[in-house]
Amino acid sequence: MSRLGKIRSALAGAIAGAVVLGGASAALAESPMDLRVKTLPQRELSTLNMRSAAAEEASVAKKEAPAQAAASKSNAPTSRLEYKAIPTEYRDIKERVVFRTNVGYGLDVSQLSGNVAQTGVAPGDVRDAQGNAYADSRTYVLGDAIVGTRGILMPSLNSYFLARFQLDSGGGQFTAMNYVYDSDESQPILVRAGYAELEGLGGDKGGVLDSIYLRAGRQYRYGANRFVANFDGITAAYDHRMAEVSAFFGQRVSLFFNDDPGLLAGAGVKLRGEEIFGYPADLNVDFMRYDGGGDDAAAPLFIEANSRARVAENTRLYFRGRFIDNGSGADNASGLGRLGGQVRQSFGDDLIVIADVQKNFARELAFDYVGSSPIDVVNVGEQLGLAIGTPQNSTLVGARANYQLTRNFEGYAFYRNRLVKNAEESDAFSRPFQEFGLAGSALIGSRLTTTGQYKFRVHDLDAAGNAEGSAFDDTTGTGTKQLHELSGEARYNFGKKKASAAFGGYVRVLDIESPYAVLDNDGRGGVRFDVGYWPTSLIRLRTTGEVAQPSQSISADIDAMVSLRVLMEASF
Amino acid sequence: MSTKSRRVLSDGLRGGRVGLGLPIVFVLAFVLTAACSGRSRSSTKASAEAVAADSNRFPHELHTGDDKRITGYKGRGLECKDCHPQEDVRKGLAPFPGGNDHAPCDDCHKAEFYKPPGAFCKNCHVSVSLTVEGETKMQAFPSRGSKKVLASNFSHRAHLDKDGMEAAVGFHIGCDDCHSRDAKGDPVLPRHDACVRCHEGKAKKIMSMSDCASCHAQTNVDIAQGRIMITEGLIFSHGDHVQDRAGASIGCDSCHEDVANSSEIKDVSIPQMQECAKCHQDPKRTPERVRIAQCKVCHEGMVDGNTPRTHLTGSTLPENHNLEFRGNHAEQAADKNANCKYCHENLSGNSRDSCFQCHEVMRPKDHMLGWRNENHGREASVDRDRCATCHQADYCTACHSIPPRSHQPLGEFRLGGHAEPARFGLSSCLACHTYEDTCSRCHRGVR
Repeated sequence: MSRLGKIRSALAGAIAGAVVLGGASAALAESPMDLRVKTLPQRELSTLNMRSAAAEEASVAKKEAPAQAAASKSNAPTSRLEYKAIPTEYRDIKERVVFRTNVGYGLDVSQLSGNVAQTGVAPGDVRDAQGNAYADSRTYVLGDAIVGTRGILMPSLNSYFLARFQLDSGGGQFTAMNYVYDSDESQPILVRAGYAELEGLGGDKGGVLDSIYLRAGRQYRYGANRFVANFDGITAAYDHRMAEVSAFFGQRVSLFFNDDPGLLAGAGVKLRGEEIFGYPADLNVDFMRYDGGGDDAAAPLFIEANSRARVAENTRLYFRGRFIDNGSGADNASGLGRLGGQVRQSFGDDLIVIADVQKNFARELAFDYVGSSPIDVVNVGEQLGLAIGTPQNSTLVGARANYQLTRNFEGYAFYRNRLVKNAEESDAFSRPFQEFGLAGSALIGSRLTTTGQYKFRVHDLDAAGNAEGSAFDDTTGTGTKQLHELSGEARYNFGKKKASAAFGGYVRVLDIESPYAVLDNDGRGGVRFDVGYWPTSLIRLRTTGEVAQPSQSISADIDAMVSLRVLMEASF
Repeated sequence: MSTKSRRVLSDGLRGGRVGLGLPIVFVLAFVLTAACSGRSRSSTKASAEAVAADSNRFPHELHTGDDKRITGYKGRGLECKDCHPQEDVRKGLAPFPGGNDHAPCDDCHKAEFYKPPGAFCKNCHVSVSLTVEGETKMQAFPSRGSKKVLASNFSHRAHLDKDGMEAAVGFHIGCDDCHSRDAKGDPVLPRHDACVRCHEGKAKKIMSMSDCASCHAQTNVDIAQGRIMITEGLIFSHGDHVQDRAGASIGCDSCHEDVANSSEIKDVSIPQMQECAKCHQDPKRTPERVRIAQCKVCHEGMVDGNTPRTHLTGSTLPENHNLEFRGNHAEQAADKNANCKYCHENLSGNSRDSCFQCHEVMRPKDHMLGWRNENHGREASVDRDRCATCHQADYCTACHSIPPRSHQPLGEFRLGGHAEPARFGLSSCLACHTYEDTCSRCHRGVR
């Protein structure tokens, strides 16, 4: 099938799905509502104004003497009910415009320790491919900007824009720390989202148009089971209180490469059981097809679903699944990619227990819909390798519990276990492991919040493959045998919107076993701080810093890494 | 001024029937008021006894103060019963004075009643018309937004103390015994008629209706009258809160939790928004469209989803933001009624944008310097899904396409410098390279 044909079929599927599901949802009879609030207020396209005394008098007068009220209507203040295309009052602007910018200066420092790296070379003695010497510091300007509007120009028009940027201002790129911005094709300013949206076109008259929204521009789409698509395109939806039906189409956004990013299209439906049947259960189904860039690229297709139900006062059930056709054309290319469920049980107000299980199948995505299958990396900069072998059948089970011991102290425990039937065939990304952890949080007084966490994980390595001196080509693990992690943070608030300060630290200790070496208690750690001060309610000055000591076995060539950022945040 | 002419004028003020005698009355009124106003001006100069007032609300404080005209009234001082006939109070009637041809007001303010309708009339009247029937209107009392002058020292605690009531008077009462409902089902503030039922009966020995000061002891207190709880742009109807959607009765104390501990009006239990949330976040008790996130259900002038930025909570975390929630809130954030936007800035307020608006500008706490340099690969091996929540594949390859520090100088690394790091952790190599297309090109058949 040609690429155009694939897109056509995807679009046809999306539209057909939307029409069928939309028809089904529209055909659903009104549920037997028992609305004790008998009259809802009229939707008013205005700001959050309190009722003025004059307006109230007019209202009272209207009840008592309609003729008199009619006469006084012309004198009553009506600005509250009038729609202004461009807000001119401060409060109106605040309510209809979201603005935030964060601009700052960053400094990274990492001096060489004088030791040689694993390659046997000291970075200080060499030059990179461009002939640059190792730079022990690097400075840059960084920040982000967010602008959102609601009801500007038109009552139903909304917009949102989000961008991040980082510009080198000194030092060099041959440093201890790389950035994604260093990629050859990456732009210093990354526009993550920028869209306009029309919603509520009917003016809240209760018609079909009230429930339709259209969004055009750079946007995100979240699938029912975690596929995340960032694309330039259009989304159209009918969002009724009982159900939402939507369809989307566009070009995938590739922020870091300028090659053909591919096209995608899909549709989705959300059914809200509480509104339809009076039963608190929801069902979401999403469909997406991605046509990768290039004529011979794979065209994976996903159908994802999740459902949640409140089966008892304190019990919730979640189910999720993904059907996948990875587009490889192989016999087993189509089928379930993953299937999972969760139970959340509350015991009173203080204890929540959650149990999870997720089964991943061999045809599951290697990473996301772009990295849907293992890729033979020829040009590293163009395709995703990431050591992702063919996914294996595996099952991840876990449980966690949160207990509010007192009003000011809570505890948390978690456990996970990945079970792999044919462990000897699994790769680094699907090796069995077990993880256990504890965390606690305490509020001391009314201003000081402390949290702490300990995590222990043990990996089931292929002992023979990772043993020192073993065969070279066995890569059945990351080499991590077990991990201890201890972290903590204390945050002090000096008052609402005045100042806050946080200080934290972490230690990680790993046991690593590889064909080359066995490392026991290989430690690394760091401390960090974050101080914020609001000179006004609209501006925050912020300084963050971190000092990290890398592993002296793996990164013996560098000394402590230091990062400092000074930021000014203005929000409206 | 004759009794007859005074009655005609008062009939006019009350909007009484004037019928065919209207022209005559009008002429008479004009002549008489002109004459009286002349008398009034001269008598005002001659005597300080007449009191003029210019207020849009009855000045209770002037009638209960230490002014000598009050303390010297009839040689004994002005008493409550002079204006509020006790027989009416005992009957539970509204004891507003002035209904009997402005008596007893005209005992002191006689001169004012001889004048054309003016500012003085507004003490009690919204409007006065001598010519149009029905256009003479009384002011609402108590008027909204004003302050109480003779507030009652009513104690909910005493009245809701079941055992205490039983011991003292042999019975007990509930909310509805005093707060009857109007046609809409809203409870009304009790008037004297509610008190009479007990305080002229079994409870008379404790407090009698004839002893005004035993209840109305407070003067000039700063308590708003009327809508003291449901203020300004808040939309609320008690009548709509009789039952929840499951049919269960909603008791008064469901919202007014501490009312049984209120000993005076000032500390009466006014529900906070958290109280509303107990039911309006509970699907079993309320349907979705009246949930707490639907701001416009209760707040006037609210554009859907446009939450005021003033709804910030400072250093206080919501109760559900426990440790588990901080790491696993995807489901809640994706909910149509998600209220993240109440506190978290950067959000457009649209529930369709549940993840990226926050996470594009907030890194997880474990993404520290050491994370990027040494740890993230090992964590990705156990939590690939977690990476994919924010990072698309090209994000990974963009960084991994940059030769790492260990690869410098590249020439030397290719020629043999890669051997030791490769043996240390071949998986790290395979983050970017494959054996077939990278290693085996040189290492053909060689390990």
